[in-house]
Amino acid sequence: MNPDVISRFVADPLELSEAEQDELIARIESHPEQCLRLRELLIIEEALSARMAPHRGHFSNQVRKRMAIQGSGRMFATRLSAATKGLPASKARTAPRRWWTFAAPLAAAALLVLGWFLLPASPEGRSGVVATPGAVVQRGDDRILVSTPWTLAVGDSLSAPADSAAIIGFSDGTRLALGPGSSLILSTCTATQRDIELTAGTLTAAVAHLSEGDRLCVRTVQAEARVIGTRFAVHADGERTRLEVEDGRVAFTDRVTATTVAVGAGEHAAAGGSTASIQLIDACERTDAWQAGSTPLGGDMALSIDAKGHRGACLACAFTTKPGTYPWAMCVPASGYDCRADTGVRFWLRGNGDGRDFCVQILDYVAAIDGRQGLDPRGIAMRFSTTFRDQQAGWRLIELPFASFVAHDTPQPGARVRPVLADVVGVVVFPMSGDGSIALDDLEVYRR
Amino acid sequence: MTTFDTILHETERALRLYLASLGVRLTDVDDLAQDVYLDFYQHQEDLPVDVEPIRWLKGMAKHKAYDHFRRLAQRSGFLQRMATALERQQPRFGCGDGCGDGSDDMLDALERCLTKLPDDQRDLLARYYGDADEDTSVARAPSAARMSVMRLREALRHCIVGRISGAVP
Repeated sequence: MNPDVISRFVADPLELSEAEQDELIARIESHPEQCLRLRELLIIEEALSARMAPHRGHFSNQVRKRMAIQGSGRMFATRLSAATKGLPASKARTAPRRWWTFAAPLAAAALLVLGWFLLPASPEGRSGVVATPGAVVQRGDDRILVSTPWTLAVGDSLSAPADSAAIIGFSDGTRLALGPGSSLILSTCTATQRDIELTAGTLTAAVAHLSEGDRLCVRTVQAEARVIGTRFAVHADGERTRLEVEDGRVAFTDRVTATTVAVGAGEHAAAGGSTASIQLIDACERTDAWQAGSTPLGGDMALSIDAKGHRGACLACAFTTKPGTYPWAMCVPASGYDCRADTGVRFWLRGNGDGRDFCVQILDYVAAIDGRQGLDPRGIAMRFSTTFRDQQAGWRLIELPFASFVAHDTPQPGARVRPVLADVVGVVVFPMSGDGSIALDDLEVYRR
Repeated sequence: MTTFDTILHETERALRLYLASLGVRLTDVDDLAQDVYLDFYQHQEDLPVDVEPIRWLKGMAKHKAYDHFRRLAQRSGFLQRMATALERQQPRFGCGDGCGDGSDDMLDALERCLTKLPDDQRDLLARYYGDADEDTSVARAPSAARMSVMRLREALRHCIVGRISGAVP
């Protein structure tokens, strides 16, 4: 038997030939000391890898990120379920069902079918059926208050009540939720194409799988979101349109610049309003707006001003960590920033190119939700985190889209897993491990 | 921190060591461990009040590992038999099946043992385990380097056992 077979198994358990596998099994079953040796070597192998492989250093964050993604999906499903109460369940659902879970969809389906026959039939296929009492349909000069399921026709304008969403169900399982007080126009509705003009407010969509050549398109004055099979939300006001994709991908076209981008799950895009812009949070030329510390105590972060910045002076950060400590530098601007229309935060980094990982957090404060006005907002703000790696010596621009930030604390059911961004009261930067120094310059919020 | 956060923070190292000690490949250890924590998070109410979380998590991890081995169809028989055989031997460090979270002592000992290594050997380990670039990774290249790492692993094992048993201060 190859004397290295135990070590080879440690390096890769699938590397051994069948004959060697049999020999190894026989060996460890008959020689407990060899079995003990192998198990301990496997433990050391894991410990060394976890300690030295950079990508394995953020296990807890990876768990939280997966939980956040799952939590986001659950929250969306809950919202949609609540909004579509009374309509058939989506075809995409695959979980086992008990008999009573069919009852509501069947009853709603019966209502839909009833609506299909009793209401004026649309000459075109896949018509949307509005099933929200209180919604208002404008058809030509007629203004119709919806009280029973109502089939929309091309050209109809639909307004949701001020206090609830209006739900439109399509025969293929697609569900659109028009936010309270929002309105839309059904521009096209054929067997393969559905075009909707969102004139104001918010539209959330859960779209059934589209076949080749099918199209569902949501347009605003500024933009067009063409669905590729997904769940997404579009928010529009007179000046600006914002798209948030929860699942799948959406082709988003800025109708002014005629540029199209594919927006994936967890990402957002915007069009209209002012074009690309930058909001300076701190020029990093003074330490006034910065605080330093360590969580827990034990690490050290020293801040100073370095004359050789990317532009003017910069903030030099020298840090020393001990296992389990995270020394941090926190920018605390005099007032919070409304970043809802922005793309992300960015800053210039003078790095070392040593592959060290850093975490960046934004402190997202929403007094109305927390209900704890008067307290230090930074103390009760929710923290959302993302990471970057120092891969290049010298200055480079680090851009961190808000879409990449996930809740730092474990999302409990019902908790926010995405930042609201209405009042960002701080930005924190800290190394994940080791000792060293970096420099920061021009901390900004950017929009594009 | 929430209860879950605390448990995650306090047990993740031990859980990953446990999965590795059953013969789960390093490339799969984190994925399986994440699955364990996600399942645990969704069913936290199932945790009996009189059971240490790490023990509960290890039970879940063991099932995950065996499921994982079954999915590796061609090698599943071998890996399952290996895991069963390995579980019969209680390691002297790094937290086996019957202990609580005892990984801290082992990791402290590992740190101390690493500091005793010459710089070039520490560099070799750092490149072997730390290089994410597969094209340049020492792990995939010269067998001489792999042999050196094997010897270092053995040396570290003896060093850790010595420190944990108190033979080495």
